[in-house]
Amino acid sequence: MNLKLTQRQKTAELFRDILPADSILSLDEELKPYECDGMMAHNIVPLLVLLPEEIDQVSKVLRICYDNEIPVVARGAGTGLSGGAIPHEDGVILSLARFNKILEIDSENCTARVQPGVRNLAITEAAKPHGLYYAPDPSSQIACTIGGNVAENAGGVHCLKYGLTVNNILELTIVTIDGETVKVGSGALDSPGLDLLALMTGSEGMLGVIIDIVVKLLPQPTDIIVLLTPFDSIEVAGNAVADIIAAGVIPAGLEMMDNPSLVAAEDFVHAGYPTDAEAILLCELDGEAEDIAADQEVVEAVLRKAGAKEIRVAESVEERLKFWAGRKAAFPAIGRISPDYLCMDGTIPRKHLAQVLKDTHALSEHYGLRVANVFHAGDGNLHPLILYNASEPGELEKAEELGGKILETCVQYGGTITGEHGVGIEKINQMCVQFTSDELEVFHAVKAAFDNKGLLNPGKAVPTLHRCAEFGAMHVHHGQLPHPELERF
Amino acid sequence: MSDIQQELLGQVVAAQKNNEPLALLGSGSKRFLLPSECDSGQTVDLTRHHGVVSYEPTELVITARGGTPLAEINELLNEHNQMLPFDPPMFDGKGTVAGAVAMGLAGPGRPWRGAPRDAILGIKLLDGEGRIVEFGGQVMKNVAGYDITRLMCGAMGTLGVLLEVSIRLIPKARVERTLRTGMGYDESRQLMNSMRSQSVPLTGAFWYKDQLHLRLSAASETALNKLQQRVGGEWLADNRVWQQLRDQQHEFFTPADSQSLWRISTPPAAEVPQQEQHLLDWGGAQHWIIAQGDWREPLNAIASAARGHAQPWFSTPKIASTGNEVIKQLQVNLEEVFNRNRIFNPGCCNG
Repeated sequence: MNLKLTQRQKTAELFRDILPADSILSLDEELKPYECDGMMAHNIVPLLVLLPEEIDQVSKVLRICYDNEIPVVARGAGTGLSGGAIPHEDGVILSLARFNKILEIDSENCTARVQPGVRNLAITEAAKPHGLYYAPDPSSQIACTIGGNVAENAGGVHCLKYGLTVNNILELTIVTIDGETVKVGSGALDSPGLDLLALMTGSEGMLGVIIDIVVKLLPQPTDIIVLLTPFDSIEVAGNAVADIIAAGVIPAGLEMMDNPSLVAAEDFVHAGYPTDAEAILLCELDGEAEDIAADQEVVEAVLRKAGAKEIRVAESVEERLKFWAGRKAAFPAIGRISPDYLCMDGTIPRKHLAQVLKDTHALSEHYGLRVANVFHAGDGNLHPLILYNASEPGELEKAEELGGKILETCVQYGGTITGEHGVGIEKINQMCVQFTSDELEVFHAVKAAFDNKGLLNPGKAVPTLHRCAEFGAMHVHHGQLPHPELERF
Repeated sequence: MSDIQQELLGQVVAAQKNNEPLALLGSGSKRFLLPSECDSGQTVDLTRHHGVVSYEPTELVITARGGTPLAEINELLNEHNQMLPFDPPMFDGKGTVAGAVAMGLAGPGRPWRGAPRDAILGIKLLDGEGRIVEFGGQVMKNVAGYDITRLMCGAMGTLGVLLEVSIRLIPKARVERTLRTGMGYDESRQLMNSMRSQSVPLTGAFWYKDQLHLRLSAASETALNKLQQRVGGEWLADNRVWQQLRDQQHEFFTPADSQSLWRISTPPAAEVPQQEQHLLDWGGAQHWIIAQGDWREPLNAIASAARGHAQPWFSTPKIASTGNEVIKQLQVNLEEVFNRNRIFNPGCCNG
């Protein structure tokens, strides 16, 4: 019997008293589906997968892991793109898939209490009869779970107006690594003490396990319109975005796609995109009809002044959904024209959009890999998609290196390496570029304040200082590179 | 403009070395909210660390040194028809931007426009180890590393000196008016409850002495008139009442010497029995009550029945009084990270 198998069986024994047999997965074929998340380029087989159904079981599992120093990786639907839920080879996967109930819709307070394994879109579906919805809408919303959304502080296309996950949740119940169950936040708009609710959000499963969530629901807007505007140049489209904001309009969604993305999307879903455009801008306005009309007037004037020759307004709900279908299907559309692709997630101040795209283009040529861009233009969140072929030796590594360079470019222009996908393992080296060693030390100390043995999702999100030294990264201080006289991409 | 970062760093390093506490103070406008023991230690005047570092209206972001007066920021934003979404109270017309973040308070628009924690994007922090560290940034979406930025909101300076803050802005509404209508407490609550789940252009709702005030903000007059037709009432000549409410200059906020002012924060639709001296704000989520004598027990009971919490306004208990031992320990651990030996505002700390 090999060592791993012995370790696996011995570890499984620890949980037999608290979990039924079907809640402990230990056979190779059972473990296989858990070896990676949405970042499929890397996989590790976990020691065990545990599927508790009750909070008390989660608490006991964590206590056992704490006492026996077993790493724990919490997991929702596994749709994350940054490798945050990739297993630890000596650790357990704590799957929250069975916590899949919507416990309460409170239509007077406009909240829903849900378990972490509930899908994002299922909340909106359940709230719909009350005229309400849950605002954050990551592209994976049909599959991703709310627990994962909280762990990653997920965004979506409506963040500029409605905020991220952190702005749309009120209360969390968490289980600490030593098995204590506590609530942070409350149904009220504030609570005494430090804002641990905010700290837990986006902590990538490294501070505690989220077991119950109260989300805020918003009234469905009475009306929605979408404008589609083609542009001859990305730069002009980028300027139009800034002008819309300057005119005092906050669109519900403001999205840009470059030519390679819109062509791929058009070929895939026939959204009616003009394939000869260098870029298109999708602008969604929502609210009451009178308000939308007033905003629409402003936006159209701005777009024309910026150089738009044509503005298409979706004439029907079907056409509006079709406009969006192209944007939402951009990733799979790219999947059709390339065997593999990596999706990056940098955010930049909007004003640098044209320059960052130019730099990205130069990098793309240097590495000989195609890059398509979709962009949450309203909030500066850029998703360059790097096209590569994993079956070509060395191409994945090349694509990852290119991705890293693009993120470093984002930091150089005063942005960040991740707007909504999280760091996970994917961007861990670029953390060394964005943060100083003092800042990384603070992160490690915060981690230790919650998890003194370092058992919750170890090795993710925050690099060790040693790793940064090995990576040899330069910390880029808010656009001030050391030796700015040197030419870089 | 003045930058005293190096001087502050020297003070903190010396304080840590000699284990001598520091009382972090901005303009002192919210000092009356803190327990008196927060004063222990040598006062550090942060108003001298002052000035807007960057402001670009099209990016919807402002970055300012902690000691910059809110009035100065508001004036600048006004020129570009923008505002701080959380509309922070300025009790005596004063207040600094770091003070607003550290106290975490929000104006009457809180349920619709959020609190400091919803608008803050980044900080430059001087912590108890003498580290000058930056978290977050100037972009809307940023999930790299733990959210230390939002952790600072409402931390009352117990986690370090906020040297700079970056805040997301919103455009001012093109049209904003105040509607006043005569209505009882229960009926007002019902109306606010029903409007909560409807798409209406509301950004303020408070009830006092059988009058309901609604602030409506929209892109067009038409949307406002539609709501007036539904609710009734009259338009006020201006919107000053919201500023009076925000800064507690409204007539309600004048307890007699024998009375005390209490605040109860609850879920917005929670039932709180009407009290004799009662103002209901935040569309139902914030109750102000003037109480006679020691009302701690009954008000705590009312608050917990409504799944909220009560606090005596003029001496907000120290930062960590949540009652839960596990939470308290986590907060002590975090203080240890940012404020070892509790050199900052020790009277407000747990540990």
